[in-house]
Amino acid sequence: MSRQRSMEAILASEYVTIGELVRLTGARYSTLKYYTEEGFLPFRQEDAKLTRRYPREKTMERIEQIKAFREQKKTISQIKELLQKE
Amino acid sequence: MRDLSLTQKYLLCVLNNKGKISSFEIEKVMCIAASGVVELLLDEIVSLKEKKLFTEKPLPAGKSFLAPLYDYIEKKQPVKFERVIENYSITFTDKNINELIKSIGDSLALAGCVQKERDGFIVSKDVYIPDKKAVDAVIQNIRAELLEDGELSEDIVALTSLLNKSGNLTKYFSAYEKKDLKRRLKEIKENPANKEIQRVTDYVDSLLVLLIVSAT
Repeated sequence: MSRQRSMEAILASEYVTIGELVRLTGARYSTLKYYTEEGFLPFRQEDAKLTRRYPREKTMERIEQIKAFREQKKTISQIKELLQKE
Repeated sequence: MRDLSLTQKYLLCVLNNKGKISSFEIEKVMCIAASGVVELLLDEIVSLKEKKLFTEKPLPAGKSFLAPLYDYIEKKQPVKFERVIENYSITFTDKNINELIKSIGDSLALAGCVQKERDGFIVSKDVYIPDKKAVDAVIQNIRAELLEDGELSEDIVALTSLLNKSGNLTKYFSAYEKKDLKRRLKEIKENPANKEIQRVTDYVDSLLVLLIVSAT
């Protein structure tokens, strides 16, 4: 078991955990979990029982993009379509 | 989210909406002191040898909110873990715990996580009203680690164990989530690699049992 990483260390990392994404973006865990299950957020996982790792920059950009869509009153299914078109 | 430490997160989660902790809530009072000791242990600022605490290095400037606790350990070392906790909980006055809460509370006010106000007419004292978003960020972080598969940080395990001991998990987690959280804590407890955290939570457990026995 290791210590929780400082914000400085997280910001210098290529990959982050969902817990670190919560700290970075202020988004709720359940929201990020849902976005992950819906395939909105890319991640890599070496084994089904191991921690999911998200590419930090790409995922943060994606979360910002989803937030912007939500502000434009887009529904989740509309967002899904828009993201699939990319 | 700001980089809060274990003790700062624990206090933030146990303060009520009026920014207070009653001295009658003995479990919370004990766990505030215990969280401070655990934080000092995790950062290797103090060490625990044969049930006694010793200082290992000076208190870093970034941890000055733990100065009352560190100064007490430094002055009394080698000092039993139980004695440190008792110094903040089983005393005739609230002076010691109030001093520690003030120190941690002021650091939280500086970080923008609580609003510091004065309360009381005859004897006024500082209260620290928690910012709901800051509390939620801590809880979401616990959820993100403990309800996910994979690795855990010592900080989150210690924080959840302390919240569990002081009966605060119910405030933030559903019965369904609590079941999962407790299952993961049990797994951690049974893992021999986590002896240090286990030792400390065992001390808090035994103190709480002693307290119940002495009150009956």
